[in-house]
Amino acid sequence: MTHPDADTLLKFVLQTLDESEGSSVAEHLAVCVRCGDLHQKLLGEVTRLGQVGFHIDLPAPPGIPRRSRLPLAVSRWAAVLAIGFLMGYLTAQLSDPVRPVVIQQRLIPTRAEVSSSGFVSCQAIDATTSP
Amino acid sequence: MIDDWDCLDLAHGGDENAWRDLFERHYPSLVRMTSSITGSVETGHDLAQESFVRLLHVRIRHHTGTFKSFLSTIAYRLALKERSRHDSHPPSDSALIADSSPSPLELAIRDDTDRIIFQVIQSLSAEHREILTLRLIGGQSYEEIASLTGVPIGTVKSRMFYAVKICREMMKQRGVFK
Repeated sequence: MTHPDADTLLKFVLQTLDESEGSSVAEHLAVCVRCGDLHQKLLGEVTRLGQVGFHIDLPAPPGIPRRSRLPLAVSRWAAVLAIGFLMGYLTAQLSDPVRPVVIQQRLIPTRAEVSSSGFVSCQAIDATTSP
Repeated sequence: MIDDWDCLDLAHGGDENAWRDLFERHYPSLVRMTSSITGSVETGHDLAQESFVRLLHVRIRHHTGTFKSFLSTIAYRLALKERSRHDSHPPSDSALIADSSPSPLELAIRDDTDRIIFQVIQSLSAEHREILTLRLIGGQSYEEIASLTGVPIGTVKSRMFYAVKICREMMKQRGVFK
C-alpha cells in the first residue's frame, strides 16, 4: 500500500474508515515509521481535544429521596384493589332498581265518559297508574 | 471498585456512599460535556446536577451499553432542551456589553490552551460540536450517537471527521497544534 494521506490517517484515528480500508491502513502503519509518527501525532491531537481541563469544585450530590417502606409491587396491588372497590361501589349505586312509572293511555272511553247523546268528551283521558 | 451500574442499583436502594462514588466519578466529565454543548459552564453545572437527579428517578430494567453513555444521553437531551430555550430567548445586547468581568468560563478553565480548545469547539456549528462532544467527551460510540441524534451513522462519521479537521486547522492557526 502507498502512504495514506493525512485525511485517511485522521479517519483511521477517528475509526470512521470502513473495515477493509482500516485494516490495510493498520498493516501499513505496522511497517512505515513515517506514517506511524503522523498517526501518533494525530492520535495525540484528537485525544487532547477531548481533554479540556475544567476546574470543578465538586458540589454535594443531590439527595436520595426517601422511598416508601412498602415494596413497589405491594403498593401497586393496593392501588388496583382500591380502584376495584371504588368501581364496584359506583356500579352498585348506578344499577339500583327503581320502580318504573308507566303511563297508560286509555283509548276506549269508559261508559261514564260517553254522554247521553253518544259523544265522547274531549277532555284528557290520560291516566298515570302504577303497574 | 464497584461497577457503575451496581453503584446505581445500590443508590436506588438508598446507599449514600455508592451514590457519592458515582457522582464523583462522572460529574466532572458531565459538566465538560454539557458546558461544551451549551457554551456556558454555569449551565453545564446545572444540567449535570439535573442529570443526576433524573438518574435517581429513572427505572432501569436492563443495563444496555455503558453507564457513562447512558448518563451522557440524559445530559445531552437536557442540554439540547436548554440550548433551544436559550436560542429562543437570547440575552440582550446591553446585558452583553455591561458584563466585563471574567466569565465563568475563564474562571473554570484556567489553562490557556484548554480555553483555546474550548473556544475552538464552541466556534463549530451546533451539529459538528454536538457529535464531537458526544464522541470525545461523552465517550459514546458512533452507533449510539446516530441513535441519539437521529442522524444516519455515515453522516455522524462524516461530521466527526470534519469537526476534528476544522478544529485542527484552527488550533494550528492559534499555534497550539503544529
